[in-house]
Amino acid sequence: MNAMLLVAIREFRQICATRSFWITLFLLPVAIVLSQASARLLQPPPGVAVVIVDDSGRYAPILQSRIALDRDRQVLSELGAYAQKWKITPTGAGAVWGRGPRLFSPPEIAAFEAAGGLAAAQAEIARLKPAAASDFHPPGPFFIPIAPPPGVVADRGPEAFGASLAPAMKKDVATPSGPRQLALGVYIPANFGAPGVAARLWSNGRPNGPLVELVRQELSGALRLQALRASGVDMAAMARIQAINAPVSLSATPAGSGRERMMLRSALPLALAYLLLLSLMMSGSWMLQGLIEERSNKLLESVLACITPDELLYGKLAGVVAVGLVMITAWIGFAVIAAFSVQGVVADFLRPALASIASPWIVVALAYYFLAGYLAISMMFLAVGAVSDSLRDAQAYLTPMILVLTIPFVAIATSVLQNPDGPLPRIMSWIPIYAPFAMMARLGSGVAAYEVIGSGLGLAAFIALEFVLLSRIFRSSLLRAGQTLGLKTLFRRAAA
Amino acid sequence: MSVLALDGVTKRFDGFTAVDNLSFEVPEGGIFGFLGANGAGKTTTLRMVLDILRPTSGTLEVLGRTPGRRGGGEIGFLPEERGLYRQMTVIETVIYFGRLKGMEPAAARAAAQSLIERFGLAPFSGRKVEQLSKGMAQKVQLASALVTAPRLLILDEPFAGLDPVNQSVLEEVILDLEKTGSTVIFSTHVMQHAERLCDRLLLIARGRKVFQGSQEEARAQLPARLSLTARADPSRLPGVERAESGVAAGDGWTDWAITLTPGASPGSVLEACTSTGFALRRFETHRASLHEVFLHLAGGEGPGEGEARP
Repeated sequence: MNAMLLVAIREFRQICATRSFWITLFLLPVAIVLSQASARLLQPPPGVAVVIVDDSGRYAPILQSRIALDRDRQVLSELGAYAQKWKITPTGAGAVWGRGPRLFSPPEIAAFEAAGGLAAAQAEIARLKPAAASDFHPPGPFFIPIAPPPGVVADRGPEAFGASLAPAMKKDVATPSGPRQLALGVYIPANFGAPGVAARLWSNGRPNGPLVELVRQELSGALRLQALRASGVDMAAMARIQAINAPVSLSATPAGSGRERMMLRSALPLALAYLLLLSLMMSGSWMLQGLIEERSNKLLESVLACITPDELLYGKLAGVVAVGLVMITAWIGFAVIAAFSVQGVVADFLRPALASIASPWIVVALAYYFLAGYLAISMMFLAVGAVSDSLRDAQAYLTPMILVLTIPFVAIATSVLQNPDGPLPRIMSWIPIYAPFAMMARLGSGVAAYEVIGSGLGLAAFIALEFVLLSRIFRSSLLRAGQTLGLKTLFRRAAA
Repeated sequence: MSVLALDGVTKRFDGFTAVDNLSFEVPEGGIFGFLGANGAGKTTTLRMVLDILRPTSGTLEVLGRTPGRRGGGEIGFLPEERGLYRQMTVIETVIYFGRLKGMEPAAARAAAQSLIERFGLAPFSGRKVEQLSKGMAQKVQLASALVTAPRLLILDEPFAGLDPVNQSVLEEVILDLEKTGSTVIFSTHVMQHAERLCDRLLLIARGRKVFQGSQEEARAQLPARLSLTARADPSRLPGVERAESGVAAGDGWTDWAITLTPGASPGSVLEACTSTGFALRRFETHRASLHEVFLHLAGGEGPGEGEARP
């Protein structure tokens, strides 16, 4: 076994024996899982409750009917998305949802309800869905009308009603969908519609805009209808006019196409670029610490009496690349396990994302940029280690170096998601230290061959130059401790 | 045959000349002392021998070859500034250095175990270096230098930092190696060690050779001194350069401190006393110590007072 491999194995084992390696290895997936879990746990359940007290007895049914209509539209929309995702084509009467998600019209909703509504749709799904498909879970309703909760006074006028609502609004109230926040109390007086008589609304903190708008629209519509009736308008004609809806056709691109497609195709390469950056920062700093420890422990002379500085340099690089690859492999493994453990994610995200790297050339290019990026940046860390006597010394070089690397990365990632062929990602693709990140992030959405080859060759030339310069700095600096190293000296050693 | 030959070797660092036109040879076998003050150029020379540094000019031959890592197992090296991988165990460390020098895994393990037992480290074989005392860690480093059973062992200030017990252990190791036919070169600025161990010496000052030869030849560089108790003034005896009278010893006898002329031997003075009837009650010879020789040859640059290292 040659000396370089021995050094690489020792370096790999030393880094893997550190606590920080294992903490970092598990920290990323644990952090992602925790953030997802906490987001789900802390996020309030969808839907809010609304209490409607209608002394007139004429308006509450109108409001409840509109809430029910919106609820049906919401369920139909989700059913449409479900049918599209699992390629289900229902054939029963009222199966309007089989044509994908769109803006469902009142007649379509009426047909859906007439055919048995959600229960009939669920039966149809059970009959047609493929084995791999998950069950359809209807979304929670946005607005849930409820009877006045205990303690809320509904029969003693608006002031008493409003005063008694306040305590109920401080906590969740019981609804058919479970405990929910009471967002709105509506009081409609018996003589609502008479001049100067207003419906009263009480909101829990900031008003729920869509709910308040719904109430306002329906009450206004009802009052307009009464006014038209009072003015002698033909009610049959009025009803026909009221039923007119502007013919709007809303189409949504299916998942994995359009802008969403572009983002999905960029997501995986961009994630790889981010993992490259993350693992580089970690493994680079471990390697740096190791080299500084070797310098401060005065053991380099013993090592250099056995092997050449170049063997030591290449061995360290090989060791740290191996560490990085293990980290990336582990993280990707965690991600795949997580993706397959969450039903629907594979179909929704992973499949279109993986489609971006389906071409063998893209896989080769990704692998090249990943490894080349690792080498190029690791050598910068190694150079810092070779000229630093302590971590404090190293910090003077590291801080600007990390800033120079990470800040443009954020700009690259943002730009790539907006437009992978935008000027910033294209310029960065030609700057060797950013080329791995920019090209990896862009590869998913397609990059011209001349750019891939040209940028790749530039990166290779940069790495070759780094090898030559670092080798010189390494040889001339390793055994020189306690010297303040200015840029002039550094350049002189690199040129020596 | 010489195991090491330097011819006109010079090494400069950023305008500072650490080694200046140095030429010498070390014959195979025996213990060779490489003496000089701190900063005299010893470590720089040894680094060039090990190909850690390249000379600015001049040529070196080590075991008949130009310096390099080929046949690295034939050379063992214990650096002045010692350190080990703190997280590695004792046995791993010795094996690692053996393997870096080209040993096969099984051979490296066997040699490492043997050395670890020899140095009394067997109970600590699986212990991490960071858990060892300084003395034990230094033994591990020595074992790492010896694991390949080298023909040429280079020790740079090997006694620095060792307690007296470990110093004597190291001296025994050096003497044992000499018995097996190995050549030991060790650098030091502590002359007592050189006096006890070295067959031949090289003394450098400010990067230049100032002396090479045996201990006797080194001592001959300084005039011999005598202590006499005599009735008459000994300054007229042949070979006496200077005679200083000391205290009166009673009954007309006086103690004298004699400095001989360079090249004159105490034996010839005694012979002259006997042949001329010069009355003596005491005749003691004083050999110059290496320390005195060092001070004399290094031109006042005492051990440990060299120039700063580059």
